[in-house]
Amino acid sequence: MMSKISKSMILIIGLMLLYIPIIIVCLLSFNDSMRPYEFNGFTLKWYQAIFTDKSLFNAIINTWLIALCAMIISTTAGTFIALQISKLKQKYKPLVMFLNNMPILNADIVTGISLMIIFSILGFSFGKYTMLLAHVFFCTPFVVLSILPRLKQLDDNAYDAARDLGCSHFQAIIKVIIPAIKIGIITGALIAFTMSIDDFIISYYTTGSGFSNFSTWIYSRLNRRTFNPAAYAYNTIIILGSLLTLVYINLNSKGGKKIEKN
Amino acid sequence: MKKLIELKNITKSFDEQIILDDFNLYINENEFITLVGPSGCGKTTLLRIIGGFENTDEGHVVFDNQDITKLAPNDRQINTVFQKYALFPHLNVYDNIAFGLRLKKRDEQEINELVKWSLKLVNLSNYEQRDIDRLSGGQQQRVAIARAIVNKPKVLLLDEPLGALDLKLRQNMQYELKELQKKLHITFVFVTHDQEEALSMSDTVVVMNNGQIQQIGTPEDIYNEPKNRFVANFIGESNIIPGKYLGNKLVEFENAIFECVDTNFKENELCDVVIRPEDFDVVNLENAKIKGIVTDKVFKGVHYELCLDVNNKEYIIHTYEDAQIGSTIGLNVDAFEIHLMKVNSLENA
Repeated sequence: MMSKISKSMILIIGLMLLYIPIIIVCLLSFNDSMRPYEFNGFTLKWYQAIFTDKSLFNAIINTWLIALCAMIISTTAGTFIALQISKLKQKYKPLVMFLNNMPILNADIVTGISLMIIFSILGFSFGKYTMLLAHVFFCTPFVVLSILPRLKQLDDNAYDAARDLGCSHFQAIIKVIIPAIKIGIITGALIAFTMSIDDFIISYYTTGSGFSNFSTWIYSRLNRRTFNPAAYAYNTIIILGSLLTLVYINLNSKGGKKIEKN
Repeated sequence: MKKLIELKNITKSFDEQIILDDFNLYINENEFITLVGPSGCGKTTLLRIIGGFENTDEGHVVFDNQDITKLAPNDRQINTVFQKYALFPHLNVYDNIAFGLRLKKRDEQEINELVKWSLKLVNLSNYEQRDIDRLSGGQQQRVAIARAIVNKPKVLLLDEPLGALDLKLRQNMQYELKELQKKLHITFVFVTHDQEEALSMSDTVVVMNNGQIQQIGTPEDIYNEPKNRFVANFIGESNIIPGKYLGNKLVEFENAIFECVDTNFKENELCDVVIRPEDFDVVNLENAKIKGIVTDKVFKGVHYELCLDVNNKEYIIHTYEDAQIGSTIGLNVDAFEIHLMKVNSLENA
């Protein structure tokens, strides 16, 4: 009996450790006080403040714009790179895969600093374009990695079959290859999007001239007395958004399985 | 008969390994021609060259008197049934079959009729809306065939299409494919490594090895009169025995003289004698020209397969009667069952 109780205690403590920080952020977003250590009553004004604090609102918009653009560019690039890798001769594949995986394994700080050095050597002016470029750089390998297994599953002759039935090279890619690896592309795009929205370190080293995304904005304000709790409100919205998405996906995939059984 | 496809001096190599070596072949209209050979003999490469999926290093592909060597696959009046079917998993049966017609911008009404027609031909009516991954291997095979023939090509290329099916299904499909070819009047170019399949389906069999043709002929020719050791061994089982042609339709082997039907040998020329296992007659020992000791015996259903030791050479014979291992039995061979091959056609197999 004792061991059963202690086991469930461990589970509860573990879960609490995971969720308390999230819950605190949610609570703070409703706190009618600028200071996190005192609770003055319930308010929704921080949710409104997201839109009125111009620098915060800009940072949020920047984050989403960078993430969207990085997703589109890295998914397109990653798809074509994956297609080329799958056409390579078997003996070259391990080398190319190694080169693809290297940036993934690299520490963000190394990636960030090396990109910063390259951009300054090339004389780029730091700002939104360097940050976007950096995001594309670290997202693309993930896209490649999520598409390659789909291409491997594809029948060796799928492309030939499309050509055989009258497709030009381009039509064969659009009408047969892309739809067949669609799930890999979507997965890759989602990974790229979340990677970009999450990123702080690489963004920090590759941005400049007053351009900040949400994470660099928070970093620039952390030790000020005027830290705007609207950031908590935005975080709460993000948490709710991901939670709802997860619930929706779970419900849907269960429904899908039921249909398959019939 | 009209020549539909001519392959002239085709040479092809991958990574400096020669796959096809100065290969020449013509294919007639409405012919069921089978390319058969061990894996790596170049038969699939040849099919891919006809389909336009591989370029040739040298040589020309002529189709209906036009040089199509450089023509892209989508511009050829040829369709292919691929080894693992290569159906499009994101489309259902109907859309897979309609794929080629839609690219040709036929109107939907006509497409609908043609898809139904082709599904009926392969006995898959009412499967239009099925997803590909919910079909069995045999059904996928039929969809792949329907997807190709719905375009009414002049030539259908089939790359080991029955390889993944189990024996019973394979035999049914062999029969159905043959019927389909007769019904549609399309030239079929069929690739297989299964010699039995080649014999039972084809009008013409092309036996290939090391990128070269070993023999072309009707199934009967190939089986009864193999040109060299490779063909004799690859197509069916054979006993190949060294002998000497004595002239006057007489041949000597195993210290006995036999009548035969071949004549194109010089007197006392050495030759290889080919006798199929089923062509031996088991006779009484006093009438026998060859005697052998039974060393092994396998029951095959219709017949027994016996291994015999004849003067320290191993013979394989098929017989309906049982024999004891260790016993001596007598053999005889009729003149028309003996086939002689030139020794200089020696092709090690």
